[in-house]
This record gives sequence, structure tokens and C-alpha cells, in this order.
Amino acid sequence: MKRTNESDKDPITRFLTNNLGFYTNPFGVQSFLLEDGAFNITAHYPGILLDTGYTMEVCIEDITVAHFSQLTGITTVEQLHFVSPHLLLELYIKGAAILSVLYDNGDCCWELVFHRKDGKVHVKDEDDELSWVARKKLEKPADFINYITNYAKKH
Amino acid sequence: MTRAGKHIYTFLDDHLGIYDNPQGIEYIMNMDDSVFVVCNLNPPPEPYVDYGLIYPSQPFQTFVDDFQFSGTRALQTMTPDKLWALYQKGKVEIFCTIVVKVVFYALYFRLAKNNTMIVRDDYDQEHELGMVFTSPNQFLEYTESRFYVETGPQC
Repeated sequence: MKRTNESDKDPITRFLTNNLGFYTNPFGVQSFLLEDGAFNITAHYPGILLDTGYTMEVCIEDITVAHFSQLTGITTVEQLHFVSPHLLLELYIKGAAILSVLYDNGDCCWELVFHRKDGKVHVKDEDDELSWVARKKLEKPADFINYITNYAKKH
Repeated sequence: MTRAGKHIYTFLDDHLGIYDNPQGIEYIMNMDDSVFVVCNLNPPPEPYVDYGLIYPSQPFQTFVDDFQFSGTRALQTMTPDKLWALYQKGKVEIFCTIVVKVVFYALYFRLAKNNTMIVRDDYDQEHELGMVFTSPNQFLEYTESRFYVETGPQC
């Protein structure tokens, strides 16, 4: 097996490896590099204040740093410092990121994952292994909050 | 709760609160949802000693925040390096347990400021040590000396 030298790694991989695989930039965007090479990046949905129990996050999960660079053009640590949650939101709109919406009422916690594909919003309940295409128009944060609140009432 | 937190909680719950990853790190979630993490260091300084790293019980969200986990794969792929890094921050302790038949005597050592260590016992009584131990034998000799002082030379 070919060994990878430290100098062979790209700057982002090197930086994250030296930071134990984790970095939060000044905009609250968190980057993770797992020991197996998987790269995750996540941020809270920008510019909203949510009621207690609700969480909205935009994430890209289980890709490689190379794939992330391909998607965003981000190849340097300097650029990683300036990744904003809005960039991840743009990637969600393009179908490259997912939107995770959680509702925890204290007794139960529901999560729905939204993913745009072919102009439609696909919804996934990973706990119950269900997926479907949303019939409602889901664009604004309030649309997603209402959607999960109604979903929690029915499940 | 975040997406990562929810997934990790479900993962540990599905494993009935105990999960051992392939790198020998054990995660234990208690009935009150607090979590502690243990990793034995081999070989121990003596065969009658359990010796390793422990992240003492913390509320679930504190555990997720301290380890900066991005999801369940981070639990699965974590290596002792991360525990060592948290040891350097004073959040993980070195435990040294004398195990003789039914006798268990444990002390927990964590790094503190000004080149000192805090030593904790199983009753959460703490005292400061005016130096930093680095070798397994130092931890063992100190634990044995405290054991003899507190219980007399029984074994």
C-alpha cells in the first residue's frame, strides 16, 4: 500500500489533521475530518432565531476534502476560515447539501432531512427509514418549522 | 440538540448504553444520559493494575461538545490521540486502579495549571499534586502509597 506523506496531503487535510480533525471558523461553520478520511461541514441555518426545541442545520456529510474542493472551489485553509453558512445554504439550493431540521419537545425528538433534487424537495425520516417528496412548497425557514411541527403531531 | 447529538444519542441507546470501538475506546451512557469514556493503556505498569485514560461522566451535551463529534462515525473512528489531546486540556484523566481480588483502589489524575496535577479519588475528593507525572510507574507508585496510607498494607 502506498503511504501518504504529510507533504502529499492537501492544505485543508493537513490543517484539520493538525487540529485533531475539527475546526470552527469565525462564522460558526464547523469542519470535521474523521480518522477514515471522511469530511463533514455543518452550520446552523443563518439569520434566524428559533423557538426552544428547534434546530436547523445545513450540512455536507461523508465526502472527501477533494470532493468538497470540487464543489466549492475552496482549496486553502485561508478560504476555509471564510466559509459562511450562506455558502452552505447555496449548496443546499443547488442540491449538494442537506438541511436537517430537528424538533425536540422534551419527551421526543424528531428529525427530518431535506434534500433538493430535480427541482423537488425530498424528505427523509432517517429514524423510521421513510422518504418521500414534499408536496408543499418548502423555501423559507418557517416552512420547514411548520412542516416538522405538523409531522411531529402525526408521528 | 443538534443532528450530531441526536444521532450519537440514538447510537449509544441502540447499543444499550455501551459501545466499544475498534480502537479499544469504550463509551458508556448512564441511566441519567451522562457519558463517560474509557481507554486502557497497554501494557499496564504491573499486571495487577488497570491503567488508562478516562473522560469522567459528563452530561450528554457536554460530552458531545467536548469531543466535537460530527456524528456516529466519529465515535467509531476515534483513536486514543483525541483522548490524549483532551488530557492535555485537563478534561481527560489518567486512571490508575489497583486490583487485588476484591480490592479496587483507584485514583484519577488530570493536568492543571502551573505544572501541577489534580488527583481525585472515587469519592470525588481532590487534592493538588505539586508536579506532573509522566511515566506509568509514577502513577502507580503514587497510587500505591495513597492506598497504603488510607487502608494499611493489606495485600
